[in-house]
Amino acid sequence: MCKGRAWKLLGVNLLLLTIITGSTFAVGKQEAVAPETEVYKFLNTWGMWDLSRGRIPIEEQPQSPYWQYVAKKFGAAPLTISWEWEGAKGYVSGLRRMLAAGDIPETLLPYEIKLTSELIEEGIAIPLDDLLKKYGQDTYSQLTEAEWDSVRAQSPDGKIYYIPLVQFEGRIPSSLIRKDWLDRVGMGIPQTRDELVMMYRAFKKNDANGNGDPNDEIPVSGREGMRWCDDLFMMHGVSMYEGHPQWRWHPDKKQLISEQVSDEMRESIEFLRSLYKEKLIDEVFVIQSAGDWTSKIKANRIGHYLHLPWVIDTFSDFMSDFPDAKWVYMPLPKVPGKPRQKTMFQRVGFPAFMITKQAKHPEKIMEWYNWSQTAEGYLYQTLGIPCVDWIKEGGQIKVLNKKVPFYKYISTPSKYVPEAIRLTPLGEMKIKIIDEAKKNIYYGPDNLGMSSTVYEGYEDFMPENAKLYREWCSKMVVSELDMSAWDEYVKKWYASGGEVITKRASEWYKKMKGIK
Amino acid sequence: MRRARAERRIKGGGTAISGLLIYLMLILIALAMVLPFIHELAKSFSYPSEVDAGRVSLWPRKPTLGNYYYYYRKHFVPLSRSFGITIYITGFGTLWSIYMTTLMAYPLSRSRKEFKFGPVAMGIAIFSIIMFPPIIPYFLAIRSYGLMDTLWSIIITHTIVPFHLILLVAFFRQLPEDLFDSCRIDGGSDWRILFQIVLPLSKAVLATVAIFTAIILWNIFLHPLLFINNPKKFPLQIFLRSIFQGGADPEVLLQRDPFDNTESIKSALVILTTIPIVLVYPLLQKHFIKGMMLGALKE
Amino acid sequence: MAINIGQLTKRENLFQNISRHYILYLMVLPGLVFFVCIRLIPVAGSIIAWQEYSIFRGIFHSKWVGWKNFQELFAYYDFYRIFGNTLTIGLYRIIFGFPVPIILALLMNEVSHERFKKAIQSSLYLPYFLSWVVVAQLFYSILHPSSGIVNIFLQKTIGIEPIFFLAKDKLFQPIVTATFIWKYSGYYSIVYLAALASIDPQLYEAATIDGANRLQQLWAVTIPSLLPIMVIMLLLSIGRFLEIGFDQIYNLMNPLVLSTGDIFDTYVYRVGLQEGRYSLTTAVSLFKAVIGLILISCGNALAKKLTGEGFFK
Repeated sequence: MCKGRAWKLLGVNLLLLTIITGSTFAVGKQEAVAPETEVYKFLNTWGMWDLSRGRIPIEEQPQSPYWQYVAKKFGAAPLTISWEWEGAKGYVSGLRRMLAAGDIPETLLPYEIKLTSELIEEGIAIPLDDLLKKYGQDTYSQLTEAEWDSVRAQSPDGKIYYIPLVQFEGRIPSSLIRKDWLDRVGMGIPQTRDELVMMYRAFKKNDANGNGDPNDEIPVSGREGMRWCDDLFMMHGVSMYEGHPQWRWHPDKKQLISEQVSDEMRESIEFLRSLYKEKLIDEVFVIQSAGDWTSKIKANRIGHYLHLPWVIDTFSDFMSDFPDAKWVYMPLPKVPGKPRQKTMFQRVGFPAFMITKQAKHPEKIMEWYNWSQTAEGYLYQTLGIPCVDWIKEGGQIKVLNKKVPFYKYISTPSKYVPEAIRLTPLGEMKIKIIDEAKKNIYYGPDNLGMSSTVYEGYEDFMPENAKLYREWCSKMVVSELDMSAWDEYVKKWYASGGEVITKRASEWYKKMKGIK
Repeated sequence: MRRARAERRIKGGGTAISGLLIYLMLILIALAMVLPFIHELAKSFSYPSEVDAGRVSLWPRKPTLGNYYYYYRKHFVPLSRSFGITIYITGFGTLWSIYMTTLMAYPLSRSRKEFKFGPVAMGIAIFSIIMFPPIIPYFLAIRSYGLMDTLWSIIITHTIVPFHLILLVAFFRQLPEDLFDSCRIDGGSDWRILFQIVLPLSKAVLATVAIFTAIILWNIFLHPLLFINNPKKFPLQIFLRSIFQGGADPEVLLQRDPFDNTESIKSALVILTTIPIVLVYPLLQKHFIKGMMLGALKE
Repeated sequence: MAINIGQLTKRENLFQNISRHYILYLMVLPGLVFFVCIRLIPVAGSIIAWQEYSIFRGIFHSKWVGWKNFQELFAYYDFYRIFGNTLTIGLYRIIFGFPVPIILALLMNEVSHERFKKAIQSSLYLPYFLSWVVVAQLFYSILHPSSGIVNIFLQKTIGIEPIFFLAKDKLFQPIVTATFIWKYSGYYSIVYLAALASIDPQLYEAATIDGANRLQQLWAVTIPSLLPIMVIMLLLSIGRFLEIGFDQIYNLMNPLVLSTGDIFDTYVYRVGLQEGRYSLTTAVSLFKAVIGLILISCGNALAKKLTGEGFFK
């Protein structure tokens, strides 16, 4: 019945076997980057927007000719990682998890002001003032002193710890309307809000996209949190950036009022509500993900959407079936009772670049970053490697290779080089839109440069979160709540912290502008 | 069989109508269970525009295999990879867990005389059932062990599922002591008792615990959400979630792809991931029924 | 030999016990390491709730702030809502989710046709095996405003406008409860089925002879026999009250239903992990754990009263 010692050994051996087998199969941590070769490879985290187009794993990046071009040029090139789903939120939480794991990259895109402050406070970020002076002049000249001061204001010692995204003209948020749809329904570009609604109705009723089906058109759409339909807000006078309500100074009240609770916002919500009732706006837009929104546009289903002119070609998949498709810019339509509004253009965007204390050769990194802000850098970013993908012959640029990947291992450029844009797919259309858009902007918002300490203890009120606003106003739009709930909403907003931050914000503004 | 039927008829004593009603209710309930799947099936075989227009309810319209083919075209590598990872986690993780849990259950099932530490260990196990650590310190601890972004983070954290440990302990306790004693008299150590006597007798309960564990690991969601960043290591459920959420943006191709991010491909994915389970679970039905009974009665 | 010695040396200290039964201690070692490292140490890590924890400084160098996080928690306007949601959803689960498996088992028990029974059972148990990722998508699909079968059906029969079920916060908790019932009832009904199968058929014989019809038999024989197991299951579900939350809610939730759908776990994930407020959310988790403990002790006390035994002997 009972056999020999074999059983005891078996027990121990099984245990060891399972451990060993498991270890060989279980994949380990992401390999650390060895910065010993002549090219300084630095770990960079970058936004998913660039990388989702043609992202390749880190191990394979050095084989890319674009990586090699950058490496040769600067003796340094980034190994770039990102996190792709759940949009910007997913990116930031992936970044936070990476930092929590103790992996601190040499450079990163902070995106969130709060994370930026944390990194500055903890001494993870290094000051960039000297580096900018020595190696980053092109970058530095992108912004005015006042704009740099708003960056300095975010740190306790007044130094520059990050470089914000500088929005160049190609990034002006523009109302993009399908001209071919307009032609099919026999209408012109709407000039007033009523004309806009008429256009929506026409899109909805008829076969505006020309595919034979009159029922698949969505006149206008947006994304979760009521974002990326900013023009519908801005035409009422709301100051908004990427769907996040900002602040506006009211000289009569001597207060900085948050757009989350302004009268103009109320008007916008009422308008959206009427659109929703008539089913003129995408019925799922209040919870729609970026991916779904993008694919609807690419499926030729959306007639009017808001986005950035310089990348309209990335939404043009349907053009293989409809080569005559055209986009046209629409200045904000006039709303009854107020003058025609202009688009708010925030030149200083989110924190886009930070060098950490892990960086061994920050000078090389700064040179690399700086180049992306030059015209040369822009040409590279748009067209590719000179003499390989394009050449300049007698003052004219000729494109040799049309299929270049989007991400080319430099950071997002900020110089507006029309001739380069012209050479990209749909280039002429882009230039036309940008030219018109430029005429219809004003610079803002009033809270530009406001330190995030204003929101301390009330992070839910930050424009990027705006929890109460998103919840209540979304419900008013989809008629879950009556418009009469607005007053209750405003009261609640002020009572649960809005009053405190409004006071703080107003104080900041008055101090900054020297108003008593 | 006949006798059972006769017994039931005696038990019944009701009218034919009430009998019919019961059958009807059960059919309705079964329908409620199955209808969503039929709807998904229909959508998965329909053309996206038909689905979006709301014309597909129980039968496909403009039948196409495109929704399934879509995964072959655009997501083949990530899908099969996450599938493979989940198979690995489930297979190895279950074996690992069974082994460790059995190893710990045996001493815990011994009397206080033999194993003084028993009550303390049981106390720890029961405490763990009641109190799952708060998510943030849990996350911070696991990452401090260097398990971030590894498959070990899932396997190690499921080394022992406390509830299963209790099940095994209860079962081991009621095994006849005389078998153990006779083995000891023959000069057998505890190892021998465990492997030669206890294990063969526990096949049924071990199978049940294995199934419970396998289900947990196959469907694991929160752990990879917390600990795994690298998309190459996403287990199945995380990959599924990325598709259902519409966030995963496949590489941009210049031609129009009518299937991208549509409702119909999501339905196809639901069906794809349900099929393996439908195929496997009838075989497991017997065991986990036993297990549920064991579990409940032991309480 | 071992038995006799054991009887002689009654008070053996731990050390002697270990040396005599070292194999047992060896066996328990890996499991113990697991419990300590994976389950106990993280609980000790909850201490960061009294700190202003920073991932860059770690536990030992982060600032101590006393009860500040807890104060902030209770002052937070959303806290009561999250608390309320968690309690409500848990309660709905018990009130509506508890009877269903019993009813299912009772119905199934009346069926003698084996094949039919097996077919029904198969359909009932399947959802248990699926993950919430899949189940949530399944329900999202059938409730979709334009492509979902529910709305298609409503349109065809009643002709009303499609309802965007998933965007309605008032419907969210019922939907959560319904999906929970859909997924788990079949599985839990097994327990009752087993109990039903073990009821002495002679009791039924006696009842029939007394002239009882189906319903009366139910009342007189079936339910009383099931009572003990019903109590046990009820207490189990009370003990699990705050548990199974995250997977289901996270996968079903969207920004529009945050007000009724946000529970402790999803809040901690979102604000803690995604937004980096580690200390605050640890305080939240601790609060939830305290509530859970209270519930379990109440459940245990109830169990003792009703059945004479608690969970813990």
